[in-house]
Amino acid sequence: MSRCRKRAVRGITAVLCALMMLACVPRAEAAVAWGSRGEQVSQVQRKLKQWGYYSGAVDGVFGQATYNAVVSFQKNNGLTADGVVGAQTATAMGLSLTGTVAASSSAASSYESDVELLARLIHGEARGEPYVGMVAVGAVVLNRVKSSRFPNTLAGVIYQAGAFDAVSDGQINLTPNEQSRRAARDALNGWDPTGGCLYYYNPATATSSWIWSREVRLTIGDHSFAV
Amino acid sequence: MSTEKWNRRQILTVTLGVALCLSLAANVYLSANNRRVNAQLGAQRQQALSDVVSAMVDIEVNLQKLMITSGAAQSVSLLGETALLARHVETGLSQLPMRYEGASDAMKFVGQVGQYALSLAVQLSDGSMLSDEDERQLSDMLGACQALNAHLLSVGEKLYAEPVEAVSAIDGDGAMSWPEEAIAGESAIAYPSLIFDGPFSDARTEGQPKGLTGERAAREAAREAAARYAGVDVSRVRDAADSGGPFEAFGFTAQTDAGALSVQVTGVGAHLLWMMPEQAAYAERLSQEECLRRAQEYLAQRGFGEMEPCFVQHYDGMVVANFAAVQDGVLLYPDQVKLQVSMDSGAVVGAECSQFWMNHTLRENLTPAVTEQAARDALSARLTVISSRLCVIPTGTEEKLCWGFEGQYAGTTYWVFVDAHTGEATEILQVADTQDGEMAL
Repeated sequence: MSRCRKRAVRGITAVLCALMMLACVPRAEAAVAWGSRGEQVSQVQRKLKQWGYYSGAVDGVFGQATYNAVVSFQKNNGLTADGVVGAQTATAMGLSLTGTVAASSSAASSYESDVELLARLIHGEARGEPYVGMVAVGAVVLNRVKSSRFPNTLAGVIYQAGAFDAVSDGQINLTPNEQSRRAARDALNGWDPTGGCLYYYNPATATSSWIWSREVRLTIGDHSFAV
Repeated sequence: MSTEKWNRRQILTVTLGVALCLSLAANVYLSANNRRVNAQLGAQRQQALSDVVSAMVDIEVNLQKLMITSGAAQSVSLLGETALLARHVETGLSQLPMRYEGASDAMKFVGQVGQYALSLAVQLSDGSMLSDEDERQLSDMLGACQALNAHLLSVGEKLYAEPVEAVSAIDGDGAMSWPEEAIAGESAIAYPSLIFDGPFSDARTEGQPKGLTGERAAREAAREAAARYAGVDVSRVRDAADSGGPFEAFGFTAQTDAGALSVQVTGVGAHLLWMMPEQAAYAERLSQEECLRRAQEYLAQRGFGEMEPCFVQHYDGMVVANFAAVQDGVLLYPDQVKLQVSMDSGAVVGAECSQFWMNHTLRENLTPAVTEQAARDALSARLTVISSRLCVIPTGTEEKLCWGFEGQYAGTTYWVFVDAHTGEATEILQVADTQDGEMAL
């Protein structure tokens, strides 16, 4: 009898857990982790240095030393020691991951946030593609910014309604890896493997007849790049 | 025993009942949440549409007023306001769920209205009046504005009639569409073709590369060129995807000791178009100066002629440098090559030469009409000049010979360019320090 009750309790708990997981799926938090760069990493490093967890340079680059320091901080504060500064760890450090503190120059920090935004789009749209294909996706975004047929800011192009699947399915909120960041910088520095393309699509899955009518200039990995 | 069996069945029923209730409750909660999110999204899009319509109506009124203004100051003020409104409309249009083929023409037209207004404002700022040609273009624009407004208003009516369904209709390929027709598709409205000196002018097309010379190369000649650019034996170069467009190019992958490089070589003349390493991040053993020296050596050995570094960054163990061509001591900013040098081996692992091939040609008339001192006198007294240089800079659709000054004000570095023929200040760039190096704004 008691075994039955236990089984019943376990069953109900499992159902509850599944429902809770379902409710949690669409949420994605910004996080600072291994490979991250920028002012948020510097803030984390400054705090950890202040409290004696970190002895390296405050250089805005999240590497081994920063990772070790974050893990020690998490262990000492009863947090999950995963080395990722997510919402809970950031709160424990007294930091906000969404509100970035202004860098020395607002223009410089605006450039760095452009790198980050483009890197997130590239990560969401083209991770797993050859490196050239990742730069090409970044170049398409920047070609759109330059084109009169699209919004003329980076955020305007990326968040244009229905423009990118990574925005519609929330993958743009994943933390980009180092390769995506380098692809974003290369694209912002003018590398354009597509020669001015404005569109890309996967020929295996694209259903729009309009997209098939565009002139394809280059195919890299799974993507055809077109004007 | 039977009591226990009954109890088991009872517990199972209760468990299933509870699970069913919970799942129903979760379903009700999620659908309610979904409806709320949809309604909020619909409201935001309705607001964007209302803002777009109201700004378009203001543009229409401004264009009508322009036809009858008599003073230049009033015209300039109306044109300035029109340019701001056009920017507002562009932003609003990008928030509406439209298909590219419909949205892009509307967006291009509105962008052109803004650019045209700005360009006309500059033209009229010396007190001159609208020409007959300007009036004709304004009248064409007015007609297109009225047609676009009528279309936007009809879309608005549909949106108000079915707000939630209209915004949540998603097509198979993920693009959202309007219930019946796309906004202002190509056939819906005949937009006028506007010609003026501005970045979005119809006169500015992709053009033909001025710098690409030589015969059309065969694939094998291009492969040898790719090997030379990547610094490997030709046996280590294999075929990759070719590319089309203004720079038709052969694609290759070159296997170097430090990893694979993607290389594209132009069909005409077998010149390097771009090169990119597939591997990320190199160790930092060499100094920036040493890497720049190697980059310059690379360019000289591969026939790029005299080039100088004009902009340097460094990230992921690479020095990333822009080199501009030099003719008779004058720096040609439009003719740029960007190189990536590995700080581990000093090898050039990346290159971007499309700007160079697009613009590189022998310039005529590189003699300034204005002396360096006269140009310096045109600068703000607040700028402390550090250095000066005669250079050619790109301006919209053309280029200008300028005196370029590097100066400082309040701890920030600026580059100011003064037209070397007219003595007028043409461009000001602010240099910002980023974590990768300097950048110009």
